[in-house]
Amino acid sequence: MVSKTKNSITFWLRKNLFSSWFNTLLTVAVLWCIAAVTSKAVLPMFSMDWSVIGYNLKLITTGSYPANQLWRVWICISYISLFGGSSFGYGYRKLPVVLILILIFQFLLLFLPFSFLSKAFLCANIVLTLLGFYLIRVFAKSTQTGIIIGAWLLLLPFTFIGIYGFTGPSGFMPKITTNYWGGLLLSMIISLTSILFSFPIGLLLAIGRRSNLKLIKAICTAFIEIVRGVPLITILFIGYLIIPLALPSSLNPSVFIRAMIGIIAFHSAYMAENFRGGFQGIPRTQYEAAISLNLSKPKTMILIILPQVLKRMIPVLVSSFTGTLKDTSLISIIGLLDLIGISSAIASNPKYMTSNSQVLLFMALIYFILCYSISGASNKIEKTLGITTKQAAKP
Amino acid sequence: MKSSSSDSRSPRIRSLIEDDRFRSFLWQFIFLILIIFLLGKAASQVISALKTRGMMPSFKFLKLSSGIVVGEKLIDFDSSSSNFRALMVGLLNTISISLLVIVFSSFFGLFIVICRISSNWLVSSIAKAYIEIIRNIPLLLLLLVWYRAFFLQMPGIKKAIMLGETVSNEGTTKASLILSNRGFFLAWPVPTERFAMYRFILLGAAAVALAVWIFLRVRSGKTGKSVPGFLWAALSFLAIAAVGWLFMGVNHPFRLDLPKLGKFNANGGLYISSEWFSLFSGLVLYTSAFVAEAFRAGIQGVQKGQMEAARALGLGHLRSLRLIVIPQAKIVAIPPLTSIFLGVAKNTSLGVAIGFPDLFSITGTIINQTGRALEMIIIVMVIYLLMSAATSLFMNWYNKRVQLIEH
Amino acid sequence: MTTEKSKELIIECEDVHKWYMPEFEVLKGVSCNFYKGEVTVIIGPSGSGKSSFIRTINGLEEHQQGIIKVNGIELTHNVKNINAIRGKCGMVFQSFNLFPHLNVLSNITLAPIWVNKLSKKDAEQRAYELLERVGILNHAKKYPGQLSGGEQQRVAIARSLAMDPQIMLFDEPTSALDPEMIKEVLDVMTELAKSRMTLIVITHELGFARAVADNILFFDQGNIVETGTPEEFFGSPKAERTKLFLSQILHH
Repeated sequence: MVSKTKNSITFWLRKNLFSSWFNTLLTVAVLWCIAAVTSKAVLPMFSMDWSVIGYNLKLITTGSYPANQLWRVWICISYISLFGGSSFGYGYRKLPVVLILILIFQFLLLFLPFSFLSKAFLCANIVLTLLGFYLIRVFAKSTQTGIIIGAWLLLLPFTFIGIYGFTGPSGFMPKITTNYWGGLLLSMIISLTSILFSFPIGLLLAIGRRSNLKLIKAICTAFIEIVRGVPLITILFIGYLIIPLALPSSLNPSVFIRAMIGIIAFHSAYMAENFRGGFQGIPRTQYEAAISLNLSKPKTMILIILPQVLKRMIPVLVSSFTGTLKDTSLISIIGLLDLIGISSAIASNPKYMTSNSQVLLFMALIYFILCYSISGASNKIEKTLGITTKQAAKP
Repeated sequence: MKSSSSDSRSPRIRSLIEDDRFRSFLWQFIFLILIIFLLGKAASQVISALKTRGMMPSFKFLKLSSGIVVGEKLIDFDSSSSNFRALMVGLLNTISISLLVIVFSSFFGLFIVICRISSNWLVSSIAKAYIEIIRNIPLLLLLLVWYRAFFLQMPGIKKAIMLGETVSNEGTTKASLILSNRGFFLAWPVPTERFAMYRFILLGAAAVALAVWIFLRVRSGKTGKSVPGFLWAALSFLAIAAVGWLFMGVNHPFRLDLPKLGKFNANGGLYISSEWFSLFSGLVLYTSAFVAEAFRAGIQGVQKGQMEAARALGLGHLRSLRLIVIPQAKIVAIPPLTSIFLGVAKNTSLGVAIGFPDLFSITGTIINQTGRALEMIIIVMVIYLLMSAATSLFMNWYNKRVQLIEH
Repeated sequence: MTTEKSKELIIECEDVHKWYMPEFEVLKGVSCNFYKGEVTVIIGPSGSGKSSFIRTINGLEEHQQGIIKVNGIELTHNVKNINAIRGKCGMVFQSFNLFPHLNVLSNITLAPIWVNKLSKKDAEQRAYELLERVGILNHAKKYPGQLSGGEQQRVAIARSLAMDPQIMLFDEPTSALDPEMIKEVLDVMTELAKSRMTLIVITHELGFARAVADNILFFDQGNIVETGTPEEFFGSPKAERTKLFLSQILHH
């Protein structure tokens, strides 16, 4: 019975919530449950003492990084804002919802008790993002592509140099060793570095796995299957305990490096599997055409196969960033003070011992916002490139 | 390839180098040398480093007494038991919790996907939101939040929440359910002397159930009607068990053991520790979201026309689902489910973060006690690989069974 | 199309055997010769081995026994020989196999630039000549996905021609095309034949065979059952299997 009411809200309500008596009952029951849960669990959250977040904000975001050098971290974030905005500008004509939400979020962050310097940088970041979004149009399309790819490739070296520094203690950019890095900063750096290295290593492993040379195929397959068959934490333990033994005692890799090697090894294996799917999507006939044109195997791979594979892999690459970010949380178990490790550090402070829940919930919020926006970006990239790569989420 | 006339003027070495079989052999040879060199160097370095610490690699330490205290165990274990036994405790904990998680998250995942594709906007939105939240936070964080923010917030023993309290004459308090931050104590049936007799009845019930199942299978093979044989067999088992129970009258084969509240702890009944339950429920919550997505891919992978064709043939809604849609949904859903289930056992290793003595947790403790990092890591990796291989084999077998036969 | 008295041998095949698995022998001792400038059409039922045979000639697939010589060079495991032979043979596939990430011009210039070390200018000039020859000059900057099947196949022919082959191998070039596009591809192949290129063509287009072929090979169950000129072959087939096959395909 469609009443001739011009009120489409009523129509929508009728269709979606009250279409049958069963549905109506269900809606009422669910609403009652929501009310119960909200009053018992959600409302008390607002009455909790959230000041622990405020007092430890710097710890959560950057660990023990010296406060007077934080401007370097902000420069790196500004780099990301500028080119992140440009990347959105590359794909969208109007400001997309995702970007607006990110900007609103940054604006809301201003209300948190950051230092004045940080708040200034936050405003600058909002401006930079918008600037990048609109300015990228000035360039020709091919230049745009070059700028964006170049910017993202240079991100990691730039960040590393910026955060690590290169001068002596009294210089302009004093070196700050990795044991001072912590919190969100540490998580992001390890995740980004892992992606940067696991991409080519995973590609080589995938190519090796497809090789006709039996030995290379066997070794690559063995590596991939072994790494995928054990939990990440065991790989991290290998890195933590065995690597110091395997290297001559003159090299003493820091925990940071050891964790890094473990994470890279782990993600290379999963990347290799992703690439395998990409390669399987290229019909054998492409290889045959190349052979008939007398292209050698390396030339075939570089000129014909890889361009097609890599184009399909871009959304996978972006979405694997969320997986990496989540997996990186495990380094807290071997003692590194990433975002989750910091929560333990805060909890051990007697002043904040009872506020553990608040800290953990805040961190859940951070992860959720980061991962959700990155998946959103990945979906849009897929749509823009016209690829549908159905990849089951890695649990 | 038999070549009849090779150019006798070209030197044999040159024709060898130009032979593509030789070239691929050469590449592999070089690769092999490289690998052996690198691994050999690393291995010798590790061994010499261990030597200087006075620990030549050996597995004899497994026989030594462990000195570990374990909270959860399925087999007998105390601190004087060997390290090997400790490892077995951890392995059994991991396997038992993994299997339970797989079973429960399959059901809960099914429930979630039904909500997700419901026509009720409220219900499907909640399911969608649930899945998105789970997918975007790390499992470790979920477990920590669940454990610390929920379970540890439960009241201590003195103020434990109780259901069905009774206070006996001597002043001891018993209840059907005791909730505290140590865990749950649940009234649980415990066999009495009469159980020996009841066992026979149960055996009989099992035999009858088996007969029912075989009978139904054979009959469905003959008549072509597929019947849920397993369901009927299970029902007949339960029916006979219930009849047997009533038959025994007052002499119950089971007695309900009620947990008793003590000063610092409770005992009796079934004890589920906070650690076990938070790991279990956390993993179920986490895995179900992914299972739901895999099911959804399966259901949406079945072409719409299939349901229409089935209905057009006169099959009812439920029958169409059972005979046509669900078998095809399985085809799409099984590969992602395989990787999800493979992940469950690996994810239990996060029990180390909340103090649950799973395989990895105990491995860590043994390494701490004995310093035998290399040996223990090798052992634990082999065990995880075996578990993964077993799961893969099973899922691949099941996958082959449900795949379409195409030529 | 004209029978010349001095026929120059260009491909020699002697007792060629090929196994796919130990049990399955797909070529059971094929022996035949191909002459320069001639058009040979290979006909036969599916599974007869004709596709495997043509793919062994340019080394796309390996033969386990027998001798194949192209222009005097024997096809063995010798890498130099293989490369030399592939340089002389061009191949056109049933499914076109254009490179989807490159436009038409790049598809044609890729191999000349990277294998024959032509300069970009020379390669593009040659490409334009070939595009004109196959009749799709105006599509030079388009991508394969934007072209029809017939247009894609003509690009594929131009791509192979860009490597200056002496022999062109065609593996059922029109089988994947809609009927209205078959003629445009066959026209290009006819023009190639007229220009005295050596062609070996697997096809079901009997009209083309009758009009253009110098010689017809009938393949069945891994062997050449009968050969002959089109008049001999269609007019008076000798073997029983030939007669059976012809009756099946000529009457529908």
